[in-house]
Amino acid sequence: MTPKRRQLLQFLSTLPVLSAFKSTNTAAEAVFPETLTNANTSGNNNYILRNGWLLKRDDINNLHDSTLSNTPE
Amino acid sequence: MINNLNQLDSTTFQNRVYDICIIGAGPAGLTIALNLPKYLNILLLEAGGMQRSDESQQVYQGTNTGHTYFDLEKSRSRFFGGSSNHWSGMCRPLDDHDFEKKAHVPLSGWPISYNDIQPYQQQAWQMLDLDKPDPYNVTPAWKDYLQDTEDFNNIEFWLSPPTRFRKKYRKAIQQSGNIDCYINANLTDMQLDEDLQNVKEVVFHNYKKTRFSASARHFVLATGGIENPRLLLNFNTQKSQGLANDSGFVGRCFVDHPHYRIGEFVFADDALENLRAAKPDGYLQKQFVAPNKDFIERERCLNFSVRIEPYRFKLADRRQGSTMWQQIKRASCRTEWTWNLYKELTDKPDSCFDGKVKIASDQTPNPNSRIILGDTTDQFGLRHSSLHWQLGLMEKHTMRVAAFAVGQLFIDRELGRLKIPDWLLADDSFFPGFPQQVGGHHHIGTTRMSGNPKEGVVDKNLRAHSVNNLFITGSSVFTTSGHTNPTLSIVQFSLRLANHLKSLYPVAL
Repeated sequence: MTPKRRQLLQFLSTLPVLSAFKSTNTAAEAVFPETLTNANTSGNNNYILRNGWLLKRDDINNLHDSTLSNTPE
Repeated sequence: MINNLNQLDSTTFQNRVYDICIIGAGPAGLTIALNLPKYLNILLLEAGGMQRSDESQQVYQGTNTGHTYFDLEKSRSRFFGGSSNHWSGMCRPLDDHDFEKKAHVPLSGWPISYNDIQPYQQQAWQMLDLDKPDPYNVTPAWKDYLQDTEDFNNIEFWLSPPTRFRKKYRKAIQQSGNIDCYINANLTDMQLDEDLQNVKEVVFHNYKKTRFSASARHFVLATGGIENPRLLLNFNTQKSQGLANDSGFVGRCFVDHPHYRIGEFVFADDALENLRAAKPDGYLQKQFVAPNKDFIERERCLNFSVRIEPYRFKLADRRQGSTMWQQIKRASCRTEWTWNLYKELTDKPDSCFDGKVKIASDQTPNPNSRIILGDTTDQFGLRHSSLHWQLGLMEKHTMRVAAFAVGQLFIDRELGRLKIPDWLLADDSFFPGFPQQVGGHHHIGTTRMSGNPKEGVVDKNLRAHSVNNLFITGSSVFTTSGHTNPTLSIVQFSLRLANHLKSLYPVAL
């Protein structure tokens, strides 16, 4: 793993997983009007939320080094 | 015949009893008038003239005390043709499951099913000139990405030209023979008989403040989702709570279709290449997807549709060879001031996203979301409207469900990745206001249809529960709103009401 890739993964891992996304039960807990919950993604290991992005869990592993070049910041 | 009430005197209607008096010459009122039998004598009253005027529009002034909403005066057109004078023309019928009771949505469930208005769809279709299905002319390669899933259907809207009722139907009213239409006729009261069971006569004024009154056997109120309750609440000289308001539901359960941006996306690289090859000019029409009934029940959410709308310039000249991951990182790391600096230095398009996802959602009927009477009065002494629109947790839950579902669709179809806005991920009831579009100018639910007279204002035939000869029509009678633009449904309901009124007069009296 290159230093830049490690740096990016570190950056992504520090982003908060929003509390709403942690819920394990979805619709059953969405009792109007007391609570808010997410649908679909909860308890599904194929998806992950980072910094507002809904990602495929494999996305992070599939990142290429070239991702880190030519970015504007 | 169309007459200008400003040029007439107060004796005009003496000793005249009409069969049916219709108040309001918008899509609903005109539809009914034009589809009643010719042997019926019809009085059609329109508050405005044939053109928009400040004199008429100022009656629509009002206040907003709830969630951010459009200016009430500018959101409506108070002249012949009504809201058809400014509507955009988007049409789609309500879904059949919109009519069903949902256990997780209080006050949901209509006393009729979609089968009751489906027979009027073809006729409504013709009235609105909807003869060109699939107006968005979608690129097949783009549509392929959004094919139906287990949860979602790729749906279509239809576009009316849009039909301006004032232009299309003025001549028919003028030449009808059985319709006496009066413009500049401002309804100011409805008088009940001694038993308080029937409307005896309507009182109306021209802009010179001359008073007129007219009698009819049946009356139809068709003045719009805000004006219908405003008038009924103002008519409180004989019943303190207002006319047709024994249940207390007049003005309550105001809903619109909340329109919010629930995400922005970047295309996956392969998808981008496919779409670019299919559409070199970079212009992909927006696409609509909507959940099916099973999804709504499973997620205990409201009905909705989402519009997936690529930014026009993106396919043609975006990114200068950058990849999806570069786009995502760029979008994630930006702050407003760094992004502005980047734009200044690079002169590139002002967004790192390829498109947006917008929702148009149903709402929970909420009695506290309502039209009440304001503190100020119009030039005829009636109090203005005051809107207290509320959005709740169920609406936010629905938007979040939609965002995650669309985000997954993007992943599963290898279409791209979606970023969900922070406000939608926060566990609170906050909704942004302007400059986001907050609603659709759809004023719904304020004289709602119900089987139980205690839970609504009109019955399944649109007759007021507590006034025998008063009918109400327009989007104010919708029990729930679904997610679709209401005009097609308004016309369907009005055709159905015309048919019902016809059944009350099987032969000429």
